[in-house]
Amino acid sequence: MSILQGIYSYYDTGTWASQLGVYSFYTTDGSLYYLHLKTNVPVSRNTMWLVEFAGYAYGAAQNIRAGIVFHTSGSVIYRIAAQNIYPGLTPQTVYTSSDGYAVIRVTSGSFYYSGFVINAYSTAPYTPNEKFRILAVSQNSNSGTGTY
Amino acid sequence: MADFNGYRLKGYPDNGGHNVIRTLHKAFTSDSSVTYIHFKTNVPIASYIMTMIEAVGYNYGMQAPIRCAWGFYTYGTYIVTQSVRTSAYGGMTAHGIYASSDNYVCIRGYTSGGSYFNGFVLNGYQTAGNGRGYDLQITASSYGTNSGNAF
Repeated sequence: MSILQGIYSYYDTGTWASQLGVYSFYTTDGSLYYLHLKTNVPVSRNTMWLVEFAGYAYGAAQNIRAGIVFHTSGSVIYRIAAQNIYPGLTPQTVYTSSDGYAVIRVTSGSFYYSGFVINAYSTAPYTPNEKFRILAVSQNSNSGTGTY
Repeated sequence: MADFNGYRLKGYPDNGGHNVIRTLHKAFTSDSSVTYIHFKTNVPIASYIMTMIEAVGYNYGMQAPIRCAWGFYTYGTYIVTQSVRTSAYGGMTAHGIYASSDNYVCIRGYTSGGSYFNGFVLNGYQTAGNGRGYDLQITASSYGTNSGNAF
Protein backbone atom coordinates (compact mmCIF):
# COMPACT_ATOMS: atom_id res chain seq x y z
CA MET A 1 0.00 0.00 0.00
CA SER A 2 1.24 3.44 -0.87
CA ILE A 3 0.51 6.64 0.93
CA LEU A 4 0.94 9.68 -1.23
CA GLN A 5 0.97 13.32 -0.46
CA GLY A 6 2.09 16.42 -2.24
CA ILE A 7 4.00 18.90 -0.17
CA TYR A 8 5.24 21.54 -2.60
CA SER A 9 7.40 22.98 0.08
CA TYR A 10 10.14 25.16 -1.31
CA TYR A 11 9.97 26.66 -4.75
CA ASP A 12 11.99 29.24 -6.56
CA THR A 13 9.02 31.20 -7.85
CA GLY A 14 11.21 33.46 -9.97
CA THR A 15 12.59 30.96 -12.45
CA TRP A 16 11.25 27.69 -11.02
CA ALA A 17 14.80 26.41 -11.44
CA SER A 18 14.74 24.75 -8.01
CA GLN A 19 11.57 23.03 -6.90
CA LEU A 20 12.20 21.25 -3.64
CA GLY A 21 9.78 18.88 -2.01
CA VAL A 22 7.65 18.60 -5.13
CA TYR A 23 6.25 15.31 -3.91
CA SER A 24 6.65 12.85 -1.10
CA PHE A 25 6.09 9.13 -1.27
CA TYR A 26 5.90 6.48 1.39
CA THR A 27 5.16 2.78 1.24
CA THR A 28 5.40 -0.23 3.53
CA ASP A 29 4.98 -2.73 0.67
CA GLY A 30 8.22 -4.66 0.15
CA SER A 31 6.76 -7.13 -2.34
CA LEU A 32 6.65 -4.87 -5.40
CA TYR A 33 9.92 -3.58 -6.78
CA TYR A 34 8.97 -0.86 -9.26
CA LEU A 35 7.47 2.59 -8.99
CA HIS A 36 6.04 4.40 -11.99
CA LEU A 37 5.69 8.13 -11.42
CA LYS A 38 3.62 9.99 -13.97
CA THR A 39 4.69 13.62 -14.29
CA ASN A 40 2.90 16.65 -15.68
CA VAL A 41 5.64 17.11 -18.32
CA PRO A 42 4.13 16.75 -21.80
CA VAL A 43 6.74 15.19 -24.07
CA SER A 44 5.55 17.50 -26.83
CA ARG A 45 7.04 20.47 -24.96
CA ASN A 46 10.67 21.58 -25.08
CA THR A 47 11.90 20.99 -21.52
CA MET A 48 14.99 19.82 -19.64
CA TRP A 49 14.87 18.34 -16.15
CA LEU A 50 16.90 16.91 -13.35
CA VAL A 51 14.62 15.00 -10.97
CA GLU A 52 16.18 13.90 -7.68
CA PHE A 53 14.97 11.49 -5.05
CA ALA A 54 16.12 11.81 -1.43
CA GLY A 55 15.02 9.65 1.47
CA TYR A 56 15.39 6.46 3.47
CA ALA A 57 14.85 2.85 2.43
CA TYR A 58 14.41 1.10 5.74
CA GLY A 59 13.86 -2.35 4.21
CA ALA A 60 16.98 -2.09 2.11
CA ALA A 61 18.83 -0.42 5.00
CA GLN A 62 20.08 2.28 2.68
CA ASN A 63 19.83 6.00 2.19
CA ILE A 64 18.29 7.39 -0.97
CA ARG A 65 19.75 10.08 -3.18
CA ALA A 66 19.63 9.57 -6.91
CA GLY A 67 18.90 11.67 -9.96
CA ILE A 68 17.54 11.18 -13.45
CA VAL A 69 17.76 13.70 -16.29
CA PHE A 70 15.82 13.95 -19.51
CA HIS A 71 14.94 16.31 -22.32
CA THR A 72 11.55 16.38 -24.00
CA SER A 73 10.97 17.88 -27.42
CA GLY A 74 8.66 17.11 -30.31
CA SER A 75 7.07 14.15 -28.50
CA VAL A 76 10.43 12.45 -28.05
CA ILE A 77 12.39 11.97 -24.80
CA TYR A 78 16.10 12.50 -25.38
CA ARG A 79 19.30 11.68 -23.47
CA ILE A 80 17.93 10.00 -20.39
CA ALA A 81 20.60 9.34 -17.78
CA ALA A 82 20.46 8.31 -14.13
CA GLN A 83 23.04 8.23 -11.36
CA ASN A 84 23.06 7.26 -7.71
CA ILE A 85 24.82 8.94 -4.83
CA TYR A 86 23.15 6.65 -2.26
CA PRO A 87 21.79 3.27 -3.36
CA GLY A 88 18.38 2.99 -1.69
CA LEU A 89 16.49 3.72 -4.90
CA THR A 90 17.59 3.55 -8.53
CA PRO A 91 15.95 5.59 -11.29
CA GLN A 92 15.82 3.49 -14.44
CA THR A 93 14.21 5.33 -17.34
CA VAL A 94 11.64 7.81 -18.54
CA TYR A 95 8.91 6.80 -20.99
CA THR A 96 5.83 8.35 -22.52
CA SER A 97 2.37 7.64 -21.13
CA SER A 98 -0.49 6.78 -23.43
CA ASP A 99 -1.72 10.36 -23.14
CA GLY A 100 1.65 11.93 -23.83
CA TYR A 101 3.29 12.69 -20.47
CA ALA A 102 6.72 11.71 -19.16
CA VAL A 103 6.67 8.80 -16.72
CA ILE A 104 9.70 7.99 -14.52
CA ARG A 105 10.33 4.40 -13.49
CA VAL A 106 12.45 3.64 -10.43
CA THR A 107 13.29 0.45 -8.60
CA SER A 108 14.59 -0.70 -5.25
CA GLY A 109 15.77 -3.97 -3.76
CA SER A 110 13.06 -3.41 -1.18
CA PHE A 111 10.49 -0.68 -0.75
CA TYR A 112 9.56 -2.02 2.68
CA TYR A 113 9.08 1.14 4.72
CA SER A 114 10.63 3.39 2.10
CA GLY A 115 10.01 7.08 1.81
CA PHE A 116 11.45 9.89 -0.24
CA VAL A 117 10.87 13.40 -1.47
CA ILE A 118 11.32 14.57 -5.02
CA ASN A 119 13.23 17.69 -5.97
CA ALA A 120 13.00 18.96 -9.52
CA TYR A 121 15.32 21.33 -11.36
CA SER A 122 14.35 22.99 -14.63
CA THR A 123 17.77 23.41 -16.19
CA ALA A 124 17.05 25.22 -19.44
CA PRO A 125 16.19 28.92 -19.60
CA TYR A 126 13.48 28.47 -22.20
CA THR A 127 11.13 26.70 -19.79
CA PRO A 128 10.31 29.45 -17.28
CA ASN A 129 7.40 28.96 -14.96
CA GLU A 130 7.41 25.25 -15.66
CA LYS A 131 5.96 23.74 -12.50
CA PHE A 132 6.91 20.13 -12.03
CA ARG A 133 4.29 17.87 -10.51
CA ILE A 134 3.67 14.19 -9.98
CA LEU A 135 0.18 13.34 -11.22
CA ALA A 136 0.04 9.67 -10.23
CA VAL A 137 2.20 6.91 -8.82
CA SER A 138 1.87 3.15 -9.14
CA GLN A 139 3.92 0.59 -7.23
CA ASN A 140 3.86 -2.66 -9.15
CA SER A 141 5.93 -5.43 -10.76
CA ASN A 142 6.12 -3.87 -14.21
CA SER A 143 9.77 -3.52 -15.21
CA GLY A 144 8.81 -2.07 -18.58
CA THR A 145 6.54 0.69 -19.81
CA GLY A 146 2.81 1.05 -20.13
CA THR A 147 1.72 1.48 -16.54
CA TYR A 148 0.34 4.82 -17.66
CA MET B 1 25.40 31.42 -22.61
CA ALA B 2 23.20 32.94 -19.98
CA ASP B 3 23.28 33.77 -16.32
CA PHE B 4 20.38 34.60 -14.11
CA ASN B 5 20.55 36.54 -10.91
CA GLY B 6 17.90 37.94 -8.67
CA TYR B 7 15.88 34.87 -7.83
CA ARG B 8 17.68 33.79 -4.73
CA LEU B 9 15.92 31.74 -2.11
CA LYS B 10 17.46 32.72 1.17
CA GLY B 11 16.66 30.16 3.81
CA TYR B 12 17.02 29.82 7.52
CA PRO B 13 17.85 33.31 8.79
CA ASP B 14 20.79 33.15 11.11
CA ASN B 15 21.83 36.16 13.13
CA GLY B 16 20.57 38.49 10.45
CA GLY B 17 22.23 36.65 7.62
CA HIS B 18 21.55 33.50 5.71
CA ASN B 19 23.27 30.18 6.12
CA VAL B 20 21.50 28.49 3.23
CA ILE B 21 20.99 30.31 -0.05
CA ARG B 22 19.31 28.26 -2.72
CA THR B 23 19.46 29.31 -6.35
CA LEU B 24 22.34 31.56 -5.48
CA HIS B 25 22.95 31.67 -9.20
CA LYS B 26 21.57 30.01 -12.29
CA ALA B 27 23.89 29.20 -15.16
CA PHE B 28 23.23 27.98 -18.67
CA THR B 29 25.17 27.61 -21.88
CA SER B 30 24.49 25.85 -25.14
CA ASP B 31 28.10 26.22 -26.31
CA SER B 32 29.55 22.76 -26.81
CA SER B 33 33.10 24.14 -26.83
CA VAL B 34 32.89 25.29 -23.21
CA THR B 35 34.80 22.95 -20.92
CA TYR B 36 35.66 25.25 -18.01
CA ILE B 37 33.17 27.46 -16.19
CA HIS B 38 34.43 29.96 -13.64
CA PHE B 39 32.46 31.82 -10.98
CA LYS B 40 33.78 34.70 -8.92
CA THR B 41 32.31 35.11 -5.44
CA ASN B 42 32.11 38.10 -3.14
CA VAL B 43 34.13 36.24 -0.48
CA PRO B 44 37.38 38.15 0.04
CA ILE B 45 40.55 36.24 0.85
CA ALA B 46 40.99 38.76 3.65
CA SER B 47 38.26 37.10 5.72
CA TYR B 48 37.57 34.05 7.85
CA ILE B 49 34.64 32.50 6.04
CA MET B 50 33.75 28.83 5.60
CA THR B 51 31.52 28.16 2.62
CA MET B 52 30.21 25.28 0.57
CA ILE B 53 28.84 25.94 -2.90
CA GLU B 54 27.15 23.15 -4.83
CA ALA B 55 26.06 22.94 -8.46
CA VAL B 56 22.92 20.96 -9.31
CA GLY B 57 21.64 20.46 -12.83
CA TYR B 58 21.77 18.66 -16.16
CA ASN B 59 24.49 18.59 -18.81
CA TYR B 60 22.51 17.49 -21.81
CA GLY B 61 25.54 17.24 -24.06
CA MET B 62 27.26 14.86 -21.66
CA GLN B 63 23.97 13.08 -20.95
CA ALA B 64 24.51 13.25 -17.22
CA PRO B 65 23.11 14.97 -14.13
CA ILE B 66 25.21 17.44 -12.19
CA ARG B 67 25.84 17.52 -8.47
CA CYS B 68 29.24 18.70 -7.36
CA ALA B 69 30.55 20.95 -4.59
CA TRP B 70 33.36 23.24 -3.60
CA GLY B 71 34.12 23.74 0.09
CA PHE B 72 36.58 26.44 1.07
CA TYR B 73 37.84 28.46 4.02
CA THR B 74 39.47 31.82 3.73
CA TYR B 75 42.06 32.54 6.36
CA GLY B 76 43.05 36.17 6.27
CA THR B 77 45.58 35.99 3.48
CA TYR B 78 44.96 32.67 1.72
CA ILE B 79 42.53 29.80 1.08
CA VAL B 80 43.37 26.96 3.44
CA THR B 81 44.51 23.61 2.09
CA GLN B 82 41.57 21.84 3.74
CA SER B 83 39.37 23.28 1.02
CA VAL B 84 37.75 20.40 -0.83
CA ARG B 85 36.02 19.51 -4.05
CA THR B 86 33.53 16.66 -4.45
CA SER B 87 31.75 15.47 -7.59
CA ALA B 88 28.83 13.06 -7.20
CA TYR B 89 27.24 12.95 -10.66
CA GLY B 90 29.19 13.04 -13.89
CA GLY B 91 27.84 16.08 -15.70
CA MET B 92 30.39 18.50 -14.23
CA THR B 93 33.41 18.23 -11.96
CA ALA B 94 34.29 20.65 -9.18
CA HIS B 95 37.68 21.35 -10.72
CA GLY B 96 39.30 24.13 -8.76
CA ILE B 97 39.27 26.89 -6.17
CA TYR B 98 41.51 29.93 -6.50
CA ALA B 99 41.92 33.58 -5.64
CA SER B 100 41.18 36.25 -8.22
CA SER B 101 43.75 38.91 -9.00
CA ASP B 102 41.82 41.25 -6.71
CA ASN B 103 41.70 38.61 -3.98
CA TYR B 104 38.25 37.11 -4.04
CA VAL B 105 37.46 33.40 -3.98
CA CYS B 106 36.68 31.87 -7.37
CA ILE B 107 35.52 28.36 -8.24
CA ARG B 108 36.04 26.45 -11.48
CA GLY B 109 33.94 23.64 -12.93
CA TYR B 110 35.03 21.23 -15.65
CA THR B 111 32.87 19.49 -18.23
CA SER B 112 34.99 16.89 -19.99
CA GLY B 113 32.45 16.47 -22.79
CA GLY B 114 31.68 20.16 -23.28
CA SER B 115 28.61 22.15 -22.31
CA TYR B 116 26.07 21.67 -25.06
CA PHE B 117 22.89 22.72 -23.28
CA ASN B 118 24.40 22.65 -19.83
CA GLY B 119 22.24 24.21 -17.12
CA PHE B 120 22.55 24.24 -13.36
CA VAL B 121 21.90 26.22 -10.22
CA LEU B 122 24.40 27.10 -7.53
CA ASN B 123 23.39 26.79 -3.88
CA GLY B 124 25.43 28.30 -1.06
CA TYR B 125 25.83 27.03 2.50
CA GLN B 126 27.40 29.16 5.21
CA THR B 127 27.09 26.42 7.77
CA ALA B 128 30.51 25.42 8.99
CA GLY B 129 31.16 28.02 11.65
CA ASN B 130 33.18 31.04 10.65
CA GLY B 131 31.29 33.26 8.29
CA ARG B 132 27.82 32.05 9.21
CA GLY B 133 25.28 34.36 7.68
CA TYR B 134 27.61 36.00 5.17
CA ASP B 135 25.55 37.21 2.21
CA LEU B 136 27.25 35.08 -0.42
CA GLN B 137 26.95 36.26 -4.02
CA ILE B 138 28.29 35.34 -7.43
CA THR B 139 29.71 38.53 -8.91
CA ALA B 140 30.99 37.29 -12.28
CA SER B 141 31.15 34.23 -14.48
CA SER B 142 33.31 33.07 -17.37
CA TYR B 143 32.63 30.29 -19.85
CA GLY B 144 35.44 28.92 -22.03
CA THR B 145 38.43 26.62 -22.14
CA ASN B 146 40.63 28.24 -19.50
CA SER B 147 41.78 25.56 -17.06
CA GLY B 148 43.64 28.13 -14.96
CA ASN B 149 42.46 31.35 -13.41
CA ALA B 150 39.88 33.44 -15.27
CA PHE B 151 39.65 36.31 -12.81
